[in-house]
Amino acid sequence: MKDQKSVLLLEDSELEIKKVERAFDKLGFENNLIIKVNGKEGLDWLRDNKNPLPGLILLDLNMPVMDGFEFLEKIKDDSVLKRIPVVIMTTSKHPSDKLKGFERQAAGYMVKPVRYSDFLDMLSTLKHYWETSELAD
Amino acid sequence: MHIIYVDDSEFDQLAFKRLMRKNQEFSYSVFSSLDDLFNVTVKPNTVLIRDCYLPGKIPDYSIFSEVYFVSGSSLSSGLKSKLNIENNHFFQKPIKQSDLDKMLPKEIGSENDSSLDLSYLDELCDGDEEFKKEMISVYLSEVPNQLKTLKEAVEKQKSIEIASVIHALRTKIRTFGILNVDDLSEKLEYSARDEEIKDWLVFEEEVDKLVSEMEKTATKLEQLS
Repeated sequence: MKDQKSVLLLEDSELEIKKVERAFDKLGFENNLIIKVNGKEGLDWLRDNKNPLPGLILLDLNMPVMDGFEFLEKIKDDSVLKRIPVVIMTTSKHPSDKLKGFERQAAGYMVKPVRYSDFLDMLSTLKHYWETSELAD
Repeated sequence: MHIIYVDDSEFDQLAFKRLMRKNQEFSYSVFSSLDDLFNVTVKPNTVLIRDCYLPGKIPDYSIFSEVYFVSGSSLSSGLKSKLNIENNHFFQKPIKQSDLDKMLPKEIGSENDSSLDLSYLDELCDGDEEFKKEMISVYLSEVPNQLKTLKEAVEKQKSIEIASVIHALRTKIRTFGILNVDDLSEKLEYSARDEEIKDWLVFEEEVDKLVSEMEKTATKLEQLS
C-alpha cells in the first residue's frame, strides 16, 4: 500500500530514536520504522534485495563508522537508491552543513530537537509525495 | 520543588511557561484538565497551581505541599469559600513574578543553579510520566560515560573525538533545556571539528563548565526520576 511504506531511521542516539518512535505513535503513523545506528548499516540494509525500499530516510549526520554525508553521497550515486527522499535531522545549525546536505540532494534539513508540529508537516508532505510519485507504485 | 500547573487556556499555559523560564531552579509540568492529575505520580514537595474554572474531577489536595488557585478575574468571597481557597492562596492571572515569589520561596544559597528548561521535554512527554522517566534514564545512563570520554579526549587533545562527543551531548542539552551551555557547546564542537582550538587551556576551562552543568543537570534529573 502506498501509505504503508517503511521509514528508515539512521540514528545512533537512543534519545532521538525514542523521540521518533514516540512521534510515530502520537501521530498514528503506522508505517514500519527501521532503525540502523550508522550509515554503513543503513547502506547494507538498503542494498539487501530482500528488503523493500523505504519511502523515506531520516538521517542523522554525526554517526560512527559512516557518517551522514558519506551515506548520502553513496546513495545518491546509486541509480535506484537515489530516488528515496532523505531528510537530514541534526543538531547542527551550521550553514555549511545545511549547504552540504542540499548539495548532496537531501530533501529536507531539520534541526534537532524537532517539534511535533514540524514533524507532522514533514510526514504529511511525505504522504502526499508517496500518493503522487512514481516511487509509490 | 516541582510545580504542576493546570489550566485549560493554551494562552495562559504559554504565559506560565514563559514565566518559568526565568525560574529554572524549579521543574514543572503543565496540564489542561484536573483529570490529567490522576495519571501522574506526585512527588513530595510538589506545588499545584490550578485555574479556578476547570474541567475534571477534583484531586486529593493533601498530596501537594501547597495548592494555589488562579483566575483571570477576581473571585467573590462566596466562590472562594465554596472552593475552600485561603486568602493568600489566590492570584489573579496573568501570574507575575512577584506572585510566583510568594508561592515558591526560593532556597537561599541553593547550590543547584543549573539552568534547566524542561518545557521541550514536557511538550514531548505530554503528561506521560513513564516516557519522561525513560528519557531521563537515557540521560542518566549515557551522560556520565560521555563526559568521561570528553575529559579524556581533551586531555589528549584529540579534536575530532572531542567534536564527536560534544555533538552527541548537544542532543541532550537541547532535549533537557540546559540553556546556559547550548551556545557554548556549539562553539566548542565547531572549534574542535574544524581543528581550530588555539588555546587549549581556555578550551579546557570551557569544557569544564560544560561538564559541570551537565553533572548538575544529572543531579536534578535524578530527583525527578
